[in-house]
Amino acid sequence: VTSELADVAVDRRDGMVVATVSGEIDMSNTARVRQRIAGFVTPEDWAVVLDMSGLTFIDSAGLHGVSVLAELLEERRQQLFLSVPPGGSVARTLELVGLHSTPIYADRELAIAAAQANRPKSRPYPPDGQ
Amino acid sequence: MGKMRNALRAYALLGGTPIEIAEHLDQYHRHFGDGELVTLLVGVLTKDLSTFRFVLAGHCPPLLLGKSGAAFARIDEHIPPLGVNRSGAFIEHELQIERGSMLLLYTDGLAERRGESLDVGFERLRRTTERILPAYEAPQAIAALLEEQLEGGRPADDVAVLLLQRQADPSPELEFAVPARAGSLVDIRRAVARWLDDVGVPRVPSMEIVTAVSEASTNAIEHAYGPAGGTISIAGNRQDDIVEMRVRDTGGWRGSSREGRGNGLRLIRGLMDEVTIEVSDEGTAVLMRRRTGS
Repeated sequence: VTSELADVAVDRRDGMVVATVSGEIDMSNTARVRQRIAGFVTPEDWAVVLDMSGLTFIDSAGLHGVSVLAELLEERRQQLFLSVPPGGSVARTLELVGLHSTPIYADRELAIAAAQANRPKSRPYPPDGQ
Repeated sequence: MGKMRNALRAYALLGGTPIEIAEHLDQYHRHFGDGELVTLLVGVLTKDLSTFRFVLAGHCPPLLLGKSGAAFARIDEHIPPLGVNRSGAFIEHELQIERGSMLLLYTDGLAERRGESLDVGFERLRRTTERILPAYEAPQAIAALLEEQLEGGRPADDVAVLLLQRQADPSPELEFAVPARAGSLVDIRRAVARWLDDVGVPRVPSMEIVTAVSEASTNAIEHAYGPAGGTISIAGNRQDDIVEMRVRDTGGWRGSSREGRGNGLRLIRGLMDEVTIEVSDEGTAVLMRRRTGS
Protein backbone atom coordinates (compact mmCIF):
# COMPACT_ATOMS: atom_id res chain seq x y z
CA VAL A 1 0.00 0.00 0.00
CA THR A 2 1.58 3.24 -1.03
CA SER A 3 -1.14 5.51 0.30
CA GLU A 4 -0.15 7.36 3.46
CA LEU A 5 -0.22 5.33 6.64
CA ALA A 6 -1.10 8.38 8.72
CA ASP A 7 -3.12 11.52 8.09
CA VAL A 8 -1.97 14.73 9.71
CA ALA A 9 -4.23 17.80 9.89
CA VAL A 10 -2.89 21.00 11.38
CA ASP A 11 -4.88 24.00 12.51
CA ARG A 12 -4.17 27.15 14.52
CA ARG A 13 -6.34 28.73 17.19
CA ASP A 14 -5.32 31.66 19.44
CA GLY A 15 -1.65 31.24 18.71
CA MET A 16 -1.80 27.55 19.47
CA VAL A 17 -1.27 24.75 16.97
CA VAL A 18 -3.71 21.83 17.10
CA ALA A 19 -2.37 18.85 15.15
CA THR A 20 -4.66 15.89 14.60
CA VAL A 21 -3.04 12.66 13.56
CA SER A 22 -4.92 9.53 12.58
CA GLY A 23 -3.92 6.18 11.15
CA GLU A 24 -0.69 4.47 12.13
CA ILE A 25 2.83 5.67 12.92
CA ASP A 26 5.84 3.40 12.66
CA MET A 27 9.46 3.75 11.51
CA SER A 28 8.31 4.18 7.91
CA ASN A 29 6.55 7.49 8.48
CA THR A 30 7.51 8.86 11.91
CA ALA A 31 9.97 11.43 10.54
CA ARG A 32 7.46 12.64 7.96
CA VAL A 33 4.71 13.05 10.56
CA ARG A 34 7.06 14.96 12.89
CA GLN A 35 8.28 17.24 10.10
CA ARG A 36 4.75 17.92 8.94
CA ILE A 37 3.79 19.18 12.41
CA ALA A 38 7.09 20.96 13.18
CA GLY A 39 6.97 22.69 9.79
CA PHE A 40 3.63 24.27 10.62
CA VAL A 41 4.71 25.77 13.96
CA THR A 42 5.94 29.37 13.84
CA PRO A 43 7.93 31.27 16.52
CA GLU A 44 4.67 33.03 17.44
CA ASP A 45 2.92 29.83 18.51
CA TRP A 46 3.25 29.18 22.21
CA ALA A 47 1.95 25.62 22.41
CA VAL A 48 1.18 22.57 20.30
CA VAL A 49 -1.65 20.18 21.06
CA LEU A 50 -1.15 16.81 19.41
CA ASP A 51 -4.44 14.96 19.22
CA MET A 52 -3.70 11.26 18.86
CA SER A 53 -7.30 10.09 19.43
CA GLY A 54 -7.61 8.87 15.84
CA LEU A 55 -4.34 6.97 15.93
CA THR A 56 -4.75 3.20 15.90
CA PHE A 57 -1.08 2.26 16.18
CA ILE A 58 2.21 3.73 17.31
CA ASP A 59 5.49 1.97 18.06
CA SER A 60 8.65 3.01 19.90
CA ALA A 61 10.02 4.67 16.76
CA GLY A 62 6.82 6.71 16.53
CA LEU A 63 6.97 7.71 20.19
CA HIS A 64 10.62 8.61 19.73
CA GLY A 65 9.44 11.02 17.02
CA VAL A 66 6.94 12.53 19.46
CA SER A 67 9.64 13.02 22.10
CA VAL A 68 11.96 14.61 19.53
CA LEU A 69 9.14 17.01 18.65
CA ALA A 70 8.63 17.77 22.35
CA GLU A 71 12.36 18.54 22.74
CA LEU A 72 12.46 20.76 19.68
CA LEU A 73 9.49 22.71 21.00
CA GLU A 74 10.90 22.93 24.51
CA GLU A 75 14.12 24.48 23.21
CA ARG A 76 11.91 27.22 21.80
CA ARG A 77 9.85 27.60 24.98
CA GLN A 78 6.88 26.06 23.27
CA GLN A 79 5.15 23.21 25.01
CA LEU A 80 3.62 20.02 23.66
CA PHE A 81 0.31 18.68 25.02
CA LEU A 82 -0.92 15.22 24.03
CA SER A 83 -4.41 13.85 23.78
CA VAL A 84 -4.54 10.05 23.98
CA PRO A 85 -7.77 8.24 24.88
CA PRO A 86 -7.24 5.57 27.56
CA GLY A 87 -7.68 1.88 26.82
CA GLY A 88 -6.37 1.69 23.26
CA SER A 89 -3.22 0.32 21.71
CA VAL A 90 -1.59 3.76 21.65
CA ALA A 91 -2.23 4.37 25.36
CA ARG A 92 -0.78 0.96 26.22
CA THR A 93 2.40 1.58 24.21
CA LEU A 94 2.75 5.03 25.74
CA GLU A 95 2.34 3.57 29.22
CA LEU A 96 5.15 1.07 28.62
CA VAL A 97 7.60 3.34 26.83
CA GLY A 98 6.78 6.59 28.62
CA LEU A 99 7.39 10.16 27.52
CA HIS A 100 9.38 12.19 30.00
CA SER A 101 7.81 15.54 30.61
CA THR A 102 4.99 15.69 28.09
CA PRO A 103 1.57 16.04 29.72
CA ILE A 104 -1.06 13.62 28.43
CA TYR A 105 -4.83 14.14 28.50
CA ALA A 106 -7.72 11.77 27.87
CA ASP A 107 -9.27 13.84 25.11
CA ARG A 108 -8.68 16.72 22.78
CA GLU A 109 -10.73 19.34 24.63
CA LEU A 110 -8.97 18.61 27.94
CA ALA A 111 -5.58 18.95 26.25
CA ILE A 112 -6.57 22.24 24.62
CA ALA A 113 -7.95 23.57 27.92
CA ALA A 114 -4.73 22.59 29.71
CA ALA A 115 -2.64 24.29 27.04
CA GLN A 116 -4.73 27.43 27.32
CA ALA A 117 -4.45 27.46 31.12
CA ASN A 118 -0.68 27.26 30.71
CA ARG A 119 -0.44 30.20 28.37
CA PRO A 120 2.36 32.58 29.42
CA LYS A 121 1.15 36.03 30.43
CA SER A 122 3.82 37.78 28.45
CA ARG A 123 6.11 36.49 25.80
CA PRO A 124 9.66 35.93 27.02
CA TYR A 125 11.14 37.30 23.81
CA PRO A 126 11.72 39.92 22.54
CA PRO A 127 12.11 41.80 25.81
CA ASP A 128 9.95 44.91 26.13
CA GLY A 129 11.57 48.10 24.96
CA GLN A 130 14.26 46.40 22.90
CA MET B 1 -5.56 -1.09 -22.91
CA GLY B 2 -2.27 -0.96 -21.01
CA LYS B 3 -2.87 2.73 -20.50
CA MET B 4 -6.27 2.07 -18.93
CA ARG B 5 -4.83 -0.65 -16.73
CA ASN B 6 -2.15 1.68 -15.42
CA ALA B 7 -4.65 4.47 -14.80
CA LEU B 8 -6.87 2.00 -12.92
CA ARG B 9 -3.96 0.93 -10.74
CA ALA B 10 -3.12 4.53 -9.94
CA TYR B 11 -6.73 5.39 -9.03
CA ALA B 12 -7.09 2.22 -6.95
CA LEU B 13 -3.98 3.16 -4.94
CA LEU B 14 -5.64 6.41 -3.94
CA GLY B 15 -8.27 4.35 -2.14
CA GLY B 16 -12.00 4.95 -2.24
CA THR B 17 -15.01 2.86 -3.08
CA PRO B 18 -15.30 0.79 -6.27
CA ILE B 19 -17.77 3.39 -7.59
CA GLU B 20 -15.31 6.25 -7.01
CA ILE B 21 -12.50 4.33 -8.68
CA ALA B 22 -14.72 3.44 -11.64
CA GLU B 23 -15.86 7.05 -12.00
CA HIS B 24 -12.27 8.30 -12.03
CA LEU B 25 -11.37 5.76 -14.68
CA ASP B 26 -14.41 6.68 -16.73
CA GLN B 27 -13.34 10.33 -16.65
CA TYR B 28 -9.84 9.34 -17.67
CA HIS B 29 -11.24 7.31 -20.57
CA ARG B 30 -13.35 10.25 -21.76
CA HIS B 31 -10.33 12.53 -21.80
CA PHE B 32 -7.52 10.28 -22.88
CA GLY B 33 -9.11 7.06 -24.18
CA ASP B 34 -8.68 6.08 -27.82
CA GLY B 35 -12.38 5.48 -28.27
CA GLU B 36 -12.01 1.78 -27.55
CA LEU B 37 -14.61 -0.06 -25.51
CA VAL B 38 -13.32 -1.08 -22.10
CA THR B 39 -15.07 -3.61 -19.89
CA LEU B 40 -14.41 -3.24 -16.23
CA LEU B 41 -14.67 -4.98 -12.90
CA VAL B 42 -13.40 -2.99 -9.92
CA GLY B 43 -13.69 -4.71 -6.58
CA VAL B 44 -12.57 -4.13 -3.02
CA LEU B 45 -12.18 -7.02 -0.61
CA THR B 46 -12.60 -6.20 3.08
CA LYS B 47 -9.60 -6.84 5.32
CA ASP B 48 -11.28 -9.81 6.99
CA LEU B 49 -11.82 -11.32 3.50
CA SER B 50 -15.56 -11.75 4.18
CA THR B 51 -17.05 -9.19 1.80
CA PHE B 52 -16.35 -8.29 -1.82
CA ARG B 53 -17.83 -5.02 -3.10
CA PHE B 54 -17.59 -4.39 -6.80
CA VAL B 55 -18.70 -2.43 -9.82
CA LEU B 56 -19.24 -3.89 -13.28
CA ALA B 57 -19.24 -2.15 -16.62
CA GLY B 58 -19.85 -4.49 -19.52
CA HIS B 59 -17.93 -7.21 -17.70
CA CYS B 60 -19.06 -10.73 -16.84
CA PRO B 61 -20.33 -11.24 -13.28
CA PRO B 62 -18.12 -12.93 -10.65
CA LEU B 63 -18.87 -16.53 -9.88
CA LEU B 64 -19.19 -17.54 -6.24
CA LEU B 65 -18.68 -21.14 -5.28
CA GLY B 66 -19.97 -22.02 -1.83
CA LYS B 67 -21.43 -25.00 0.02
CA SER B 68 -24.60 -24.97 -2.07
CA GLY B 69 -22.79 -24.87 -5.40
CA ALA B 70 -21.69 -22.23 -7.89
CA ALA B 71 -23.76 -19.15 -8.73
CA PHE B 72 -23.11 -15.99 -10.69
CA ALA B 73 -23.50 -12.77 -8.75
CA ARG B 74 -26.97 -11.46 -9.42
CA ILE B 75 -26.83 -8.31 -11.53
CA ASP B 76 -30.20 -6.62 -12.04
CA GLU B 77 -29.09 -3.69 -14.10
CA HIS B 78 -26.28 -3.98 -16.60
CA ILE B 79 -23.92 -1.07 -17.11
CA PRO B 80 -22.33 -0.88 -20.57
CA PRO B 81 -18.55 -0.82 -21.09
CA LEU B 82 -16.64 2.44 -20.79
CA GLY B 83 -16.75 4.24 -24.11
CA VAL B 84 -20.50 3.71 -24.53
CA ASN B 85 -22.68 6.63 -23.56
CA ARG B 86 -24.19 5.88 -20.23
CA SER B 87 -27.29 7.42 -18.76
CA GLY B 88 -27.11 6.02 -15.22
CA ALA B 89 -24.41 5.90 -12.59
CA PHE B 90 -22.26 2.91 -11.66
CA ILE B 91 -23.87 0.47 -9.24
CA GLU B 92 -22.10 -1.21 -6.35
CA HIS B 93 -22.76 -4.90 -5.76
CA GLU B 94 -21.84 -6.91 -2.73
CA LEU B 95 -20.95 -10.57 -2.21
CA GLN B 96 -20.47 -12.33 1.11
CA ILE B 97 -17.64 -14.84 0.99
CA GLU B 98 -18.18 -17.52 3.61
CA ARG B 99 -15.29 -19.56 4.98
CA GLY B 100 -14.35 -22.30 2.54
CA SER B 101 -15.92 -20.44 -0.39
CA MET B 102 -14.24 -19.42 -3.62
CA LEU B 103 -14.69 -16.40 -5.82
CA LEU B 104 -13.84 -16.56 -9.49
CA LEU B 105 -13.22 -13.43 -11.57
CA TYR B 106 -12.59 -13.94 -15.27
CA THR B 107 -12.79 -12.40 -18.70
CA ASP B 108 -15.42 -13.59 -21.16
CA GLY B 109 -12.84 -15.56 -23.13
CA LEU B 110 -13.18 -18.21 -20.45
CA ALA B 111 -16.89 -18.78 -21.20
CA GLU B 112 -17.15 -18.03 -24.91
CA ARG B 113 -16.91 -20.62 -27.57
CA ARG B 114 -17.28 -20.01 -31.27
CA GLY B 115 -20.70 -20.86 -32.63
CA GLU B 116 -22.26 -21.22 -29.20
CA SER B 117 -24.64 -18.84 -27.46
CA LEU B 118 -23.35 -16.89 -24.47
CA ASP B 119 -25.95 -18.41 -22.14
CA VAL B 120 -24.80 -21.90 -22.97
CA GLY B 121 -21.18 -20.86 -22.43
CA PHE B 122 -21.86 -19.34 -19.02
CA GLU B 123 -23.86 -22.32 -17.83
CA ARG B 124 -21.04 -24.60 -18.94
CA LEU B 125 -18.55 -22.44 -17.00
CA ARG B 126 -20.76 -22.58 -13.92
CA ARG B 127 -21.00 -26.35 -14.00
CA THR B 128 -17.31 -26.85 -14.76
CA THR B 129 -16.42 -24.61 -11.83
CA GLU B 130 -18.66 -26.57 -9.50
CA ARG B 131 -17.10 -29.81 -10.56
CA ILE B 132 -13.41 -28.85 -10.91
CA LEU B 133 -12.55 -26.20 -8.33
CA PRO B 134 -13.32 -28.02 -5.05
CA ALA B 135 -10.97 -30.83 -6.07
CA TYR B 136 -7.78 -28.73 -6.17
CA GLU B 137 -5.65 -26.16 -4.37
CA ALA B 138 -5.74 -22.70 -5.92
CA PRO B 139 -2.91 -22.81 -8.54
CA GLN B 140 -3.80 -26.29 -9.78
CA ALA B 141 -7.48 -25.38 -9.67
CA ILE B 142 -6.95 -22.58 -12.18
CA ALA B 143 -4.89 -24.81 -14.46
CA ALA B 144 -7.54 -27.55 -14.33
CA LEU B 145 -10.35 -25.08 -14.94
CA LEU B 146 -8.59 -23.62 -17.99
CA GLU B 147 -7.80 -27.06 -19.35
CA GLU B 148 -11.40 -28.22 -18.98
CA GLN B 149 -13.08 -25.03 -20.12
CA LEU B 150 -10.89 -24.46 -23.19
CA GLU B 151 -10.75 -28.19 -23.96
CA GLY B 152 -7.00 -27.96 -24.27
CA GLY B 153 -7.30 -25.71 -27.32
CA ARG B 154 -6.34 -22.11 -27.88
CA PRO B 155 -9.01 -19.69 -26.70
CA ALA B 156 -10.80 -17.47 -29.23
CA ASP B 157 -10.03 -14.44 -27.07
CA ASP B 158 -7.40 -13.85 -24.39
CA VAL B 159 -8.34 -15.16 -20.97
CA ALA B 160 -7.62 -13.73 -17.53
CA VAL B 161 -8.65 -15.60 -14.40
CA LEU B 162 -8.42 -14.58 -10.76
CA LEU B 163 -9.41 -17.06 -8.06
CA LEU B 164 -9.86 -16.30 -4.41
CA GLN B 165 -10.07 -19.22 -2.00
CA ARG B 166 -11.11 -18.39 1.53
CA GLN B 167 -9.65 -20.88 3.99
CA ALA B 168 -12.24 -23.21 5.52
CA ASP B 169 -10.85 -23.29 9.04
CA PRO B 170 -8.47 -20.86 10.64
CA SER B 171 -5.05 -22.42 10.91
CA PRO B 172 -3.48 -22.57 14.39
CA GLU B 173 -0.22 -21.72 12.66
CA LEU B 174 0.96 -18.70 10.74
CA GLU B 175 4.05 -18.34 8.62
CA PHE B 176 5.12 -15.78 6.09
CA ALA B 177 8.13 -13.78 4.97
CA VAL B 178 8.45 -10.19 3.82
CA PRO B 179 11.29 -7.98 2.57
CA ALA B 180 13.16 -6.31 5.46
CA ARG B 181 11.89 -2.84 4.60
CA ALA B 182 10.08 -0.24 6.68
CA GLY B 183 7.16 -0.41 4.27
CA SER B 184 6.61 -4.08 5.19
CA LEU B 185 5.67 -3.26 8.78
CA VAL B 186 2.08 -2.39 7.97
CA ASP B 187 1.66 -5.64 6.01
CA ILE B 188 3.10 -7.58 8.94
CA ARG B 189 0.65 -5.95 11.36
CA ARG B 190 -2.32 -6.61 9.07
CA ALA B 191 -1.41 -10.27 8.54
CA VAL B 192 -0.74 -10.96 12.23
CA ALA B 193 -3.91 -9.14 13.35
CA ARG B 194 -6.01 -11.11 10.87
CA TRP B 195 -4.54 -14.41 12.00
CA LEU B 196 -5.01 -13.58 15.70
CA ASP B 197 -8.61 -12.67 14.96
CA ASP B 198 -9.07 -15.92 13.02
CA VAL B 199 -7.81 -18.02 15.91
CA GLY B 200 -10.06 -16.18 18.35
CA VAL B 201 -7.59 -14.07 20.32
CA PRO B 202 -9.49 -11.22 22.02
CA ARG B 203 -8.92 -7.61 21.01
CA VAL B 204 -6.64 -6.37 23.78
CA PRO B 205 -4.08 -9.18 23.78
CA SER B 206 -4.29 -9.19 19.99
CA MET B 207 -3.28 -5.55 19.62
CA GLU B 208 -0.49 -6.03 22.15
CA ILE B 209 0.88 -9.05 20.29
CA VAL B 210 0.66 -7.11 17.01
CA THR B 211 2.64 -4.24 18.56
CA ALA B 212 5.31 -6.61 19.91
CA VAL B 213 5.71 -8.35 16.53
CA SER B 214 5.87 -5.01 14.71
CA GLU B 215 8.50 -3.80 17.18
CA ALA B 216 10.63 -6.96 16.81
CA SER B 217 10.35 -6.63 13.03
CA THR B 218 11.50 -3.01 13.24
CA ASN B 219 14.62 -4.18 15.06
CA ALA B 220 15.32 -6.74 12.35
CA ILE B 221 14.77 -4.17 9.60
CA GLU B 222 17.13 -1.71 11.28
CA HIS B 223 19.90 -4.02 12.34
CA ALA B 224 19.99 -7.31 10.44
CA TYR B 225 21.05 -6.37 6.94
CA GLY B 226 23.05 -3.93 4.92
CA PRO B 227 21.42 -1.82 2.24
CA ALA B 228 21.26 -4.85 -0.04
CA GLY B 229 18.42 -5.97 2.22
CA GLY B 230 17.09 -9.37 3.17
CA THR B 231 14.01 -11.11 4.46
CA ILE B 232 12.26 -11.34 7.79
CA SER B 233 10.04 -14.28 8.55
CA ILE B 234 7.17 -14.17 10.95
CA ALA B 235 5.72 -17.28 12.50
CA GLY B 236 2.85 -17.70 14.91
CA ASN B 237 1.41 -20.61 16.80
CA ARG B 238 -1.55 -20.87 19.08
CA GLN B 239 -2.05 -23.66 21.60
CA ASP B 240 -4.86 -23.33 24.09
CA ASP B 241 -4.52 -19.83 25.45
CA ILE B 242 -0.83 -19.39 24.64
CA VAL B 243 0.24 -17.53 21.55
CA GLU B 244 3.84 -17.88 20.50
CA MET B 245 5.31 -15.56 17.89
CA ARG B 246 8.73 -15.73 16.25
CA VAL B 247 10.39 -13.00 14.23
CA ARG B 248 13.47 -14.22 12.45
CA ASP B 249 16.12 -12.72 10.20
CA THR B 250 19.18 -14.26 8.59
CA GLY B 251 21.52 -11.32 9.10
CA GLY B 252 24.05 -10.39 11.74
CA TRP B 253 22.83 -7.71 14.12
CA ARG B 254 25.06 -4.72 14.32
CA GLY B 255 25.33 -3.63 17.92
CA SER B 256 23.51 -0.36 18.09
CA SER B 257 23.31 2.34 20.65
CA ARG B 258 20.74 4.31 18.75
CA GLU B 259 18.28 5.91 21.08
CA GLY B 260 14.88 4.29 20.99
CA ARG B 261 16.21 0.82 20.31
CA GLY B 262 16.22 -0.01 24.01
CA ASN B 263 12.65 1.24 24.13
CA GLY B 264 11.68 -1.29 21.49
CA LEU B 265 12.89 -4.22 23.56
CA ARG B 266 11.40 -2.75 26.70
CA LEU B 267 8.08 -2.45 24.93
CA ILE B 268 8.23 -6.05 23.69
CA ARG B 269 9.05 -7.31 27.18
CA GLY B 270 6.24 -5.23 28.64
CA LEU B 271 3.68 -6.54 26.17
CA MET B 272 4.62 -10.23 26.17
CA ASP B 273 4.96 -12.70 29.06
CA GLU B 274 8.18 -14.29 27.89
CA VAL B 275 10.79 -13.03 25.45
CA THR B 276 13.90 -14.89 24.26
CA ILE B 277 16.42 -13.67 21.73
CA GLU B 278 18.43 -16.33 20.00
CA VAL B 279 21.50 -15.19 18.14
CA SER B 280 23.34 -17.70 15.95
CA ASP B 281 25.40 -17.80 12.78
CA GLU B 282 22.15 -18.18 10.86
CA GLY B 283 20.74 -14.95 12.17
CA THR B 284 18.60 -13.70 14.99
CA ALA B 285 15.25 -14.96 16.22
CA VAL B 286 13.05 -13.18 18.71
CA LEU B 287 10.68 -15.60 20.43
CA MET B 288 7.73 -14.14 22.27
CA ARG B 289 5.08 -15.90 24.27
CA ARG B 290 1.84 -14.46 25.56
CA ARG B 291 -1.08 -15.89 27.50
CA THR B 292 -4.27 -14.57 25.96
CA GLY B 293 -6.67 -15.38 28.77
CA SER B 294 -9.36 -17.00 26.66
